Amino acid sequence: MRIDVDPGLLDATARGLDSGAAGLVEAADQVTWALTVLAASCGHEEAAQAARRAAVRWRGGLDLAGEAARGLGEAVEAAHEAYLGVDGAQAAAISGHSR
Amino acid sequence: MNHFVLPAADADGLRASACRLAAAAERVESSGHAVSLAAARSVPGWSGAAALAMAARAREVDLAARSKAVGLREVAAATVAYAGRAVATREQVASLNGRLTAARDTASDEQRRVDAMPPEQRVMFAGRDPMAALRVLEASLRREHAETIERLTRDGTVLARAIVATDPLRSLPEWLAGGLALGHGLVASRTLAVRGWSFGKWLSYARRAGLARDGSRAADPLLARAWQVRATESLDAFRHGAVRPGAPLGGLRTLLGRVFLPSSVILGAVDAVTGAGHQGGRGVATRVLGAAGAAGAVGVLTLSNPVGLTVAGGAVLAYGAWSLGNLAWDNRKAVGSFLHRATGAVGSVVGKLVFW
Repeated sequence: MRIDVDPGLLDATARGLDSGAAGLVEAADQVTWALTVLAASCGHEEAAQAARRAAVRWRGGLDLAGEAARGLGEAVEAAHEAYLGVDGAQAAAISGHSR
Repeated sequence: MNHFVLPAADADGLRASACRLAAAAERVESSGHAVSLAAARSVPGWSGAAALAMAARAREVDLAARSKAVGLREVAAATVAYAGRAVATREQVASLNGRLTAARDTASDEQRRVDAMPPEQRVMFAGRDPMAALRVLEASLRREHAETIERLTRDGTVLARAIVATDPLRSLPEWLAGGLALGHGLVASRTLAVRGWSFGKWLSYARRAGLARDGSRAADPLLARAWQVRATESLDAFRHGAVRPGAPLGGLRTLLGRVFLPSSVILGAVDAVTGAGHQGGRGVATRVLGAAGAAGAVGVLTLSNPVGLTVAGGAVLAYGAWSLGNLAWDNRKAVGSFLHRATGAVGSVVGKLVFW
């Protein structure tokens, strides 16, 4: 059986997923900054407390989403590397057979 | 009565945080879309169960990101509205103060004029007491001020509700939120303890390497090299975290380990500027330790001399311990509720077993 996959596509996918993951983790920092400044600026105890608590939870949620995307990127990258190995073996097998 | 106190809300800070929230919403949405797009582009050239599973997982990330972006935009909008109310309130209070000052000046002038009059002329003003009229006006301005501040407080409550409504854990009862806060605190404590342990090992190995290299009695270059290698490993674990190969959730732990010091720089700098919204001594301590933690984290990442690294590492750990203490203090009620419920449940089970 011949496996036929576009290796460039796999590589581009891995990079796209990794970039999305990095964006989510960076956004987690932005949200933490914004909610901390909000807590310090609002002069309203209830809102400040809600903002401080939400900052911790938002950070955790976005970090996990980023990690999920990064995990997908790593899986695709592993698939890409595995394909390159299979492709090399296929090429060797085909050239050996034709000889 | 002195002048009316202006509201404590800082409209510029609120607008800046609203802008950052809106930008973060864009970032979250575009990143989720990038994940979904990357998977969708790949699937036509890569078919099979794995490709379908990946596309489904990527769509989940995209949907979660979109929902988070909506929540962030709602908080940003509520923050802008509250900032507008804060500006209007400041203007109204300033206007009240202006009217109060003018009324006091007028009443004093009138009182002085009346006092300077001869008694036969003063009889004509017998029914008019400028200071009594001023007191009536002051009471009216006080009521107006209370209503103005009440409107701002109401909008603050609306903002708090908007934040809580977009909080991912809003639907949880207090005891469960307390359990999660306890879990978060335990994970943070463990991270701090592991980093502190790596830092302690680095101090110990670096000192032994120094003694073996420069000690007048037992200088041993080979031993010095061995201690130096261990010191370098410990310093690397302190800087980037150490995860054993094959450990559960290894990828997540490696990522969190790598963001520990960079996030200390960002969060420490924010705390140094804002005091994390705390007032009084707690606010001052948060500012000082935040600045020390941020500078320390930069120092740990960039410095190489042992004295500088010792001071910087100590500052990072002190800031971490302070933040952990703040987390515990802010969530003490919810954690107490969780522990009360947990001990009640354990006691009930034990009671049934004992009296069965």
